[in-house]
Amino acid sequence: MDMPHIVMTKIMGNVGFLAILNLRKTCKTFRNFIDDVKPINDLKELRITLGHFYVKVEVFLDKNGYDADRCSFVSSYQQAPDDNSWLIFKLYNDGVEFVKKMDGGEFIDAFFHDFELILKNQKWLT
Amino acid sequence: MAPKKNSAKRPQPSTPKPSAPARIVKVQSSDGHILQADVRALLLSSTLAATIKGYDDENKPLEKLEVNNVVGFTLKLVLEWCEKHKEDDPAIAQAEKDKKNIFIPSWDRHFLTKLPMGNLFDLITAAYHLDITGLINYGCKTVANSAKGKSTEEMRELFGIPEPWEQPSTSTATWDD
Repeated sequence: MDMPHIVMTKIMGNVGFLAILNLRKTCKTFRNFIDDVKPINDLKELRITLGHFYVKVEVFLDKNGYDADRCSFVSSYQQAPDDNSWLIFKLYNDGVEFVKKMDGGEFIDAFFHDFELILKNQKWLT
Repeated sequence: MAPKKNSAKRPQPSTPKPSAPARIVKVQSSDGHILQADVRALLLSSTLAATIKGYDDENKPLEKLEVNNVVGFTLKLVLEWCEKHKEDDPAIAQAEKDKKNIFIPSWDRHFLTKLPMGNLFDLITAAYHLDITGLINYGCKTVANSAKGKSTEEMRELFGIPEPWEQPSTSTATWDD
């Protein structure tokens, strides 16, 4: 994509936290650009709760970032009952959305993997 | 009804001033298309404004402006946008230059969202080369809005990005991080 650097930065600055994470997975060009530029995003706050067999992450976004009605959501990383896999859920007020099941590894590693990505793509507050 | 909370912060379009007779000049694209435009519309582009000022300062007759890095189809879109906004107060674009939450007026929203993504990218790139702040702002915001709430697959489709296994020198094994 042959877009000037300033224009790309401007677009990335408007897409929001969740879209940036998804864009990062589309191709190497976007991934390198996002990791390099660290666009300003609308992530406001993370609250992490660690339990015996789960990690709960509450994500708070700026109100214009995700959509008008939903500016926060909760993700839960859990050990699966068979102990050889882990699961990720998104929790809403009115229900639960299953996101992913992976075999092998620990749920805590999956959480730290995602958490590292989130922290890596932040800028200092000025 | 109470006014919207943020409406007071948004710069309002100025009332049209009594207009001077239109001064029309020819504009030539990189592929040789010649279009006509009002000078007031062209002044929205800082690049073209500097060129026009150069001609005026030297009292040289301005017959044709050459835009060497924009093709005819895109230049027509740029001129259409500039024609619509030629009466705008330049302070509006300046005020929104570094603002994060940009409000796109309804005409601009309709104008930009009807374009295929490829043409929209060309239009934004042209606006960047010609330094048209308002068009860059609205174009970038439109692209960003179209990406919001989409999955990775939908974004690949939207931006015409090949699937991971079709992309050169990439490993799909590490693609999910």
